[in-house]
Amino acid sequence: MLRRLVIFSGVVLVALFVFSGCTSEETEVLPPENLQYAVTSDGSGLSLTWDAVTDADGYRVYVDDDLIYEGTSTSYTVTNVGKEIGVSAYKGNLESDRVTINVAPVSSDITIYERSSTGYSAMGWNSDGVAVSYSLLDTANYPNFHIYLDDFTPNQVVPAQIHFVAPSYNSQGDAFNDIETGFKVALTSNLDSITIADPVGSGYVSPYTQDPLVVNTVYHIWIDTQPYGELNTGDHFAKVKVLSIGTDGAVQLQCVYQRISMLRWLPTP
Amino acid sequence: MKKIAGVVVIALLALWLSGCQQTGSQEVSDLKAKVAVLETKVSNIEKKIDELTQKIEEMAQTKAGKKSSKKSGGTTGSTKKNLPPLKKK
Repeated sequence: MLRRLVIFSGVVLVALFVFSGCTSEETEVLPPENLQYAVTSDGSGLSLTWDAVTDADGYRVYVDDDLIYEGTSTSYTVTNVGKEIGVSAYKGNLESDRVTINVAPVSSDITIYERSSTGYSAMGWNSDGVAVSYSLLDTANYPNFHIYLDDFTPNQVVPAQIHFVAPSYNSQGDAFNDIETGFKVALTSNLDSITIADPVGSGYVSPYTQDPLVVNTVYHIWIDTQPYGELNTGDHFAKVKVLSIGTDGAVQLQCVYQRISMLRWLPTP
Repeated sequence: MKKIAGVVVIALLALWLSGCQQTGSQEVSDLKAKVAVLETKVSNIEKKIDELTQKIEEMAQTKAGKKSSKKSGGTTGSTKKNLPPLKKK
Protein backbone atom coordinates (compact mmCIF):
# COMPACT_ATOMS: atom_id res chain seq x y z
CA MET A 1 0.00 0.00 0.00
CA LEU A 2 2.77 2.35 1.03
CA ARG A 3 4.76 1.50 -2.10
CA ARG A 4 1.80 2.32 -4.32
CA LEU A 5 1.29 5.63 -2.51
CA VAL A 6 4.95 6.57 -3.01
CA ILE A 7 4.86 5.68 -6.71
CA PHE A 8 1.62 7.61 -7.18
CA SER A 9 3.03 10.68 -5.39
CA GLY A 10 6.16 10.50 -7.55
CA VAL A 11 4.16 10.34 -10.75
CA VAL A 12 1.99 13.30 -9.69
CA LEU A 13 5.05 15.40 -8.83
CA VAL A 14 6.84 14.55 -12.06
CA ALA A 15 3.71 15.50 -14.01
CA LEU A 16 3.48 18.81 -12.10
CA PHE A 17 7.15 19.50 -12.82
CA VAL A 18 6.78 18.80 -16.53
CA PHE A 19 3.48 20.55 -17.21
CA SER A 20 3.64 23.60 -14.92
CA GLY A 21 5.82 25.64 -17.28
CA CYS A 22 9.04 25.11 -15.39
CA THR A 23 11.26 25.07 -18.46
CA SER A 24 14.94 24.37 -18.70
CA GLU A 25 17.14 27.44 -18.24
CA GLU A 26 18.50 29.32 -21.29
CA THR A 27 22.02 30.58 -20.91
CA GLU A 28 22.41 33.15 -23.65
CA VAL A 29 20.57 35.39 -26.10
CA LEU A 30 22.46 36.78 -29.06
CA PRO A 31 22.34 40.53 -29.75
CA PRO A 32 20.60 41.82 -32.87
CA GLU A 33 22.78 42.09 -35.94
CA ASN A 34 22.84 44.54 -38.84
CA LEU A 35 21.55 47.54 -36.86
CA GLN A 36 20.92 50.29 -39.41
CA TYR A 37 19.67 53.84 -39.02
CA ALA A 38 18.26 56.59 -41.22
CA VAL A 39 17.55 60.17 -40.20
CA THR A 40 13.87 61.10 -40.44
CA SER A 41 12.97 63.61 -43.13
CA ASP A 42 12.65 66.51 -40.68
CA GLY A 43 15.91 65.68 -38.88
CA SER A 44 14.16 65.10 -35.54
CA GLY A 45 14.78 61.38 -35.15
CA LEU A 46 16.37 58.15 -36.26
CA SER A 47 14.58 55.21 -37.86
CA LEU A 48 16.23 51.98 -36.72
CA THR A 49 16.05 48.52 -38.27
CA TRP A 50 17.79 45.29 -37.30
CA ASP A 51 17.74 41.60 -38.16
CA ALA A 52 15.54 39.24 -36.18
CA VAL A 53 17.24 37.04 -33.57
CA THR A 54 16.27 33.37 -33.59
CA ASP A 55 14.27 32.37 -30.49
CA ALA A 56 14.17 35.92 -29.09
CA ASP A 57 10.93 36.93 -27.35
CA GLY A 58 11.46 40.54 -28.37
CA TYR A 59 13.73 43.54 -28.45
CA ARG A 60 14.52 46.56 -26.30
CA VAL A 61 15.63 49.99 -27.48
CA TYR A 62 17.51 52.31 -25.16
CA VAL A 63 18.52 55.96 -25.44
CA ASP A 64 21.35 56.78 -23.02
CA ASP A 65 20.39 53.74 -20.88
CA ASP A 66 16.70 54.75 -20.73
CA LEU A 67 14.44 51.99 -21.99
CA ILE A 68 12.11 53.54 -24.59
CA TYR A 69 10.77 50.50 -26.40
CA GLU A 70 10.08 46.85 -25.69
CA GLY A 71 8.33 44.67 -28.21
CA THR A 72 8.58 42.22 -31.04
CA SER A 73 9.14 44.64 -33.92
CA THR A 74 12.52 44.72 -35.68
CA SER A 75 12.23 48.43 -36.39
CA TYR A 76 11.65 51.54 -34.30
CA THR A 77 11.84 55.30 -34.78
CA VAL A 78 13.63 57.12 -31.97
CA THR A 79 12.65 60.72 -31.33
CA ASN A 80 14.09 61.02 -27.83
CA VAL A 81 17.23 63.12 -28.10
CA GLY A 82 20.30 61.32 -26.77
CA LYS A 83 23.94 60.53 -27.24
CA GLU A 84 23.87 56.76 -27.59
CA ILE A 85 21.23 54.39 -28.90
CA GLY A 86 21.29 50.73 -27.92
CA VAL A 87 19.28 47.74 -29.09
CA SER A 88 19.17 44.34 -27.36
CA ALA A 89 17.26 41.09 -27.74
CA TYR A 90 15.62 39.32 -24.82
CA LYS A 91 14.19 35.92 -24.04
CA GLY A 92 12.42 35.50 -20.76
CA ASN A 93 14.55 37.19 -18.16
CA LEU A 94 17.70 36.90 -20.27
CA GLU A 95 18.89 39.91 -22.25
CA SER A 96 21.65 40.10 -24.82
CA ASP A 97 24.44 42.65 -24.95
CA ARG A 98 23.38 45.89 -26.62
CA VAL A 99 24.50 46.93 -30.06
CA THR A 100 24.96 50.68 -30.03
CA ILE A 101 25.10 53.72 -32.29
CA ASN A 102 27.07 56.74 -31.10
CA VAL A 103 25.11 59.89 -31.92
CA ALA A 104 26.87 62.24 -29.50
CA PRO A 105 27.70 65.66 -30.93
CA VAL A 106 31.25 66.99 -30.69
CA SER A 107 32.18 70.00 -28.60
CA SER A 108 35.09 72.30 -29.45
CA ASP A 109 36.16 75.91 -28.85
CA ILE A 110 37.75 78.07 -31.53
CA THR A 111 38.87 81.66 -32.04
CA ILE A 112 38.53 83.30 -35.46
CA TYR A 113 39.08 86.91 -36.52
CA GLU A 114 37.26 89.58 -38.49
CA ARG A 115 38.56 89.43 -42.06
CA SER A 116 40.56 92.71 -41.81
CA SER A 117 42.25 91.55 -38.61
CA THR A 118 45.36 89.40 -38.31
CA GLY A 119 44.45 85.74 -37.85
CA TYR A 120 42.30 83.20 -39.61
CA SER A 121 38.76 84.37 -40.36
CA ALA A 122 37.03 81.23 -41.61
CA MET A 123 36.08 78.03 -39.85
CA GLY A 124 34.59 74.69 -40.67
CA TRP A 125 33.86 71.43 -38.87
CA ASN A 126 35.99 68.49 -39.98
CA SER A 127 34.84 64.87 -40.32
CA ASP A 128 35.54 64.29 -36.59
CA GLY A 129 33.20 67.17 -35.76
CA VAL A 130 35.99 69.45 -34.52
CA ALA A 131 36.00 73.15 -35.47
CA VAL A 132 39.04 74.13 -37.56
CA SER A 133 40.09 77.65 -38.57
CA TYR A 134 41.26 78.59 -42.07
CA SER A 135 42.79 81.60 -43.76
CA LEU A 136 40.57 83.32 -46.31
CA LEU A 137 43.54 82.98 -48.67
CA ASP A 138 43.70 79.20 -48.27
CA THR A 139 42.08 78.33 -51.58
CA ALA A 140 42.73 74.60 -51.13
CA ASN A 141 40.44 74.61 -48.10
CA TYR A 142 37.65 76.75 -49.52
CA PRO A 143 35.38 73.67 -49.77
CA ASN A 144 35.79 73.19 -46.00
CA PHE A 145 34.57 76.66 -45.02
CA HIS A 146 31.25 76.76 -43.15
CA ILE A 147 31.36 80.25 -41.61
CA TYR A 148 33.58 83.31 -41.70
CA LEU A 149 33.58 86.73 -40.03
CA ASP A 150 33.05 90.07 -41.73
CA ASP A 151 32.11 93.54 -40.46
CA PHE A 152 31.44 94.65 -44.05
CA THR A 153 33.88 97.51 -43.57
CA PRO A 154 36.94 96.81 -45.74
CA ASN A 155 40.38 97.32 -44.20
CA GLN A 156 38.97 98.15 -40.78
CA VAL A 157 38.04 96.16 -37.72
CA VAL A 158 34.77 97.29 -36.19
CA PRO A 159 34.11 94.82 -33.34
CA ALA A 160 30.53 96.02 -32.88
CA GLN A 161 29.69 95.18 -36.51
CA ILE A 162 31.08 91.67 -36.89
CA HIS A 163 28.70 89.17 -38.49
CA PHE A 164 28.76 85.46 -39.18
CA VAL A 165 28.72 85.05 -42.95
CA ALA A 166 28.02 82.02 -45.13
CA PRO A 167 30.86 81.14 -47.53
CA SER A 168 28.37 81.22 -50.42
CA TYR A 169 28.64 85.01 -50.17
CA ASN A 170 31.76 87.19 -50.29
CA SER A 171 31.33 90.97 -50.12
CA GLN A 172 34.82 91.39 -51.58
CA GLY A 173 34.85 88.92 -54.44
CA ASP A 174 33.75 85.49 -55.58
CA ALA A 175 32.04 83.08 -53.23
CA PHE A 176 34.34 80.73 -51.31
CA ASN A 177 32.09 77.74 -51.91
CA ASP A 178 28.42 76.92 -52.39
CA ILE A 179 27.46 76.31 -48.76
CA GLU A 180 24.65 78.65 -47.76
CA THR A 181 24.93 78.41 -43.96
CA GLY A 182 21.82 79.55 -42.12
CA PHE A 183 21.87 81.35 -38.76
CA LYS A 184 19.16 81.66 -36.14
CA VAL A 185 19.47 83.43 -32.80
CA ALA A 186 18.39 81.26 -29.88
CA LEU A 187 16.23 82.81 -27.21
CA THR A 188 18.63 81.70 -24.52
CA SER A 189 22.23 82.35 -23.58
CA ASN A 190 22.53 78.87 -22.07
CA LEU A 191 24.11 76.64 -24.70
CA ASP A 192 23.31 73.47 -22.75
CA SER A 193 19.59 74.20 -22.71
CA ILE A 194 19.40 73.62 -26.46
CA THR A 195 19.22 69.89 -27.12
CA ILE A 196 17.90 70.03 -30.67
CA ALA A 197 18.43 72.60 -33.42
CA ASP A 198 15.33 74.39 -34.64
CA PRO A 199 13.77 72.82 -37.74
CA VAL A 200 14.36 74.10 -41.25
CA GLY A 201 11.78 76.63 -42.29
CA SER A 202 11.65 78.12 -38.79
CA GLY A 203 13.45 81.36 -39.61
CA TYR A 204 17.11 80.67 -40.31
CA VAL A 205 18.64 83.61 -42.19
CA SER A 206 21.40 83.61 -44.78
CA PRO A 207 23.95 84.59 -46.02
CA TYR A 208 24.81 86.57 -42.85
CA THR A 209 23.44 87.10 -39.37
CA GLN A 210 20.75 89.74 -39.22
CA ASP A 211 22.46 91.57 -36.37
CA PRO A 212 26.15 91.87 -35.44
CA LEU A 213 27.52 89.31 -33.01
CA VAL A 214 26.99 90.00 -29.32
CA VAL A 215 28.76 88.22 -26.48
CA ASN A 216 26.76 85.36 -24.91
CA THR A 217 24.44 85.07 -27.88
CA VAL A 218 23.72 81.49 -28.92
CA TYR A 219 23.02 80.56 -32.54
CA HIS A 220 21.40 77.60 -34.20
CA ILE A 221 23.53 76.84 -37.26
CA TRP A 222 22.32 74.99 -40.34
CA ILE A 223 25.05 73.99 -42.79
CA ASP A 224 22.82 74.15 -45.85
CA THR A 225 24.22 72.47 -48.95
CA GLN A 226 22.51 72.48 -52.32
CA PRO A 227 19.64 72.29 -52.99
CA TYR A 228 19.14 75.23 -50.61
CA GLY A 229 16.26 75.73 -48.24
CA GLU A 230 15.48 72.08 -47.69
CA LEU A 231 17.00 69.34 -45.60
CA ASN A 232 19.15 66.99 -47.64
CA THR A 233 22.16 64.70 -47.30
CA GLY A 234 25.25 66.76 -46.63
CA ASP A 235 23.44 69.24 -44.38
CA HIS A 236 24.54 69.43 -40.76
CA PHE A 237 23.49 71.25 -37.61
CA ALA A 238 25.45 72.93 -34.83
CA LYS A 239 24.95 75.31 -31.95
CA VAL A 240 27.45 78.08 -31.28
CA LYS A 241 27.87 80.51 -28.41
CA VAL A 242 29.85 83.75 -28.72
CA LEU A 243 32.15 83.74 -25.69
CA SER A 244 34.05 86.97 -26.33
CA ILE A 245 34.71 89.63 -28.95
CA GLY A 246 38.08 91.36 -28.76
CA THR A 247 38.95 94.89 -29.84
CA ASP A 248 41.31 93.26 -32.37
CA GLY A 249 38.38 91.44 -34.00
CA ALA A 250 39.07 88.10 -32.30
CA VAL A 251 35.85 86.17 -31.68
CA GLN A 252 35.94 83.20 -29.34
CA LEU A 253 33.27 80.58 -29.98
CA GLN A 254 31.99 77.50 -28.15
CA CYS A 255 30.73 75.00 -30.70
CA VAL A 256 28.71 71.79 -30.55
CA TYR A 257 28.39 69.98 -33.88
CA GLN A 258 26.34 66.95 -34.92
CA ARG A 259 28.39 64.69 -37.20
CA ILE A 260 25.41 62.72 -38.47
CA SER A 261 24.12 64.44 -41.57
CA MET A 262 20.60 65.93 -41.27
CA LEU A 263 20.21 65.00 -37.60
CA ARG A 264 19.28 68.00 -35.45
CA TRP A 265 20.12 66.44 -32.08
CA LEU A 266 22.54 68.63 -30.13
CA PRO A 267 22.73 67.58 -26.48
CA THR A 268 25.88 69.03 -24.97
CA PRO A 269 28.41 66.19 -24.76
CA MET B 1 12.14 2.09 1.67
CA LYS B 2 10.20 4.82 3.50
CA LYS B 3 13.34 6.97 3.75
CA ILE B 4 14.08 6.65 0.04
CA ALA B 5 10.51 7.51 -0.82
CA GLY B 6 10.68 10.54 1.47
CA VAL B 7 13.91 11.78 -0.10
CA VAL B 8 12.50 11.34 -3.62
CA VAL B 9 9.34 13.24 -2.72
CA ILE B 10 11.27 16.09 -1.09
CA ALA B 11 13.71 16.31 -4.02
CA LEU B 12 10.89 16.48 -6.54
CA LEU B 13 9.09 19.10 -4.46
CA ALA B 14 12.28 21.19 -4.30
CA LEU B 15 12.73 20.93 -8.07
CA TRP B 16 9.14 21.93 -8.69
CA LEU B 17 9.36 24.91 -6.32
CA SER B 18 12.61 26.15 -7.88
CA GLY B 19 11.05 25.99 -11.33
CA CYS B 20 8.05 27.97 -10.19
CA GLN B 21 10.31 30.51 -8.50
CA GLN B 22 12.07 30.98 -11.84
CA THR B 23 8.75 31.53 -13.62
CA GLY B 24 7.73 34.01 -10.93
CA SER B 25 10.97 35.99 -11.18
CA GLN B 26 10.55 36.17 -14.95
CA GLU B 27 7.08 37.66 -14.50
CA VAL B 28 8.47 40.20 -12.04
CA SER B 29 11.22 41.07 -14.53
CA ASP B 30 8.66 41.55 -17.32
CA LEU B 31 6.54 43.78 -15.10
CA LYS B 32 9.58 45.85 -14.16
CA ALA B 33 10.40 46.35 -17.85
CA LYS B 34 6.82 47.44 -18.55
CA VAL B 35 6.93 49.89 -15.63
CA ALA B 36 10.22 51.29 -17.02
CA VAL B 37 8.60 51.82 -20.44
CA LEU B 38 5.64 53.60 -18.82
CA GLU B 39 7.95 55.78 -16.73
CA THR B 40 9.86 56.78 -19.86
CA LYS B 41 6.62 57.58 -21.67
CA VAL B 42 5.46 59.79 -18.78
CA SER B 43 8.86 61.48 -18.78
CA ASN B 44 8.58 62.10 -22.52
CA ILE B 45 5.15 63.64 -22.11
CA GLU B 46 6.53 65.92 -19.39
CA LYS B 47 9.36 66.97 -21.71
CA LYS B 48 6.89 67.68 -24.52
CA ILE B 49 4.82 69.84 -22.18
CA ASP B 50 7.97 71.76 -21.17
CA GLU B 51 8.93 72.23 -24.84
CA LEU B 52 5.46 73.46 -25.75
CA THR B 53 5.43 75.84 -22.78
CA GLN B 54 8.81 77.19 -23.89
CA LYS B 55 7.58 77.58 -27.48
CA ILE B 56 4.52 79.49 -26.30
CA GLU B 57 6.76 81.81 -24.27
CA GLU B 58 9.07 82.27 -27.26
CA MET B 59 6.14 83.09 -29.53
CA ALA B 60 4.86 85.62 -27.00
CA GLN B 61 8.33 87.21 -26.81
CA THR B 62 8.65 87.28 -30.61
CA LYS B 63 5.24 88.93 -30.89
CA ALA B 64 6.20 91.55 -28.31
CA GLY B 65 9.54 92.10 -30.12
CA LYS B 66 7.81 92.66 -33.46
CA LYS B 67 5.47 95.23 -31.93
CA SER B 68 8.33 97.23 -30.37
CA SER B 69 10.31 96.98 -33.64
CA LYS B 70 7.37 98.45 -35.56
CA LYS B 71 7.04 101.28 -33.06
CA SER B 72 10.74 102.16 -33.30
CA GLY B 73 10.88 101.70 -37.07
CA GLY B 74 13.17 98.68 -36.63
CA THR B 75 15.72 97.83 -39.30
CA THR B 76 16.31 94.55 -41.10
CA GLY B 77 19.31 93.05 -42.84
CA SER B 78 17.98 94.09 -46.22
CA THR B 79 18.64 97.75 -45.40
CA LYS B 80 22.39 97.15 -44.92
CA LYS B 81 24.37 99.04 -47.54
CA ASN B 82 25.71 97.07 -50.51
CA LEU B 83 24.65 93.71 -49.08
CA PRO B 84 22.24 91.26 -50.62
CA PRO B 85 18.89 90.97 -48.85
CA LEU B 86 18.67 88.37 -46.14
CA LYS B 87 17.02 85.14 -47.16
CA LYS B 88 14.77 83.47 -44.60
CA LYS B 89 14.57 79.73 -44.66
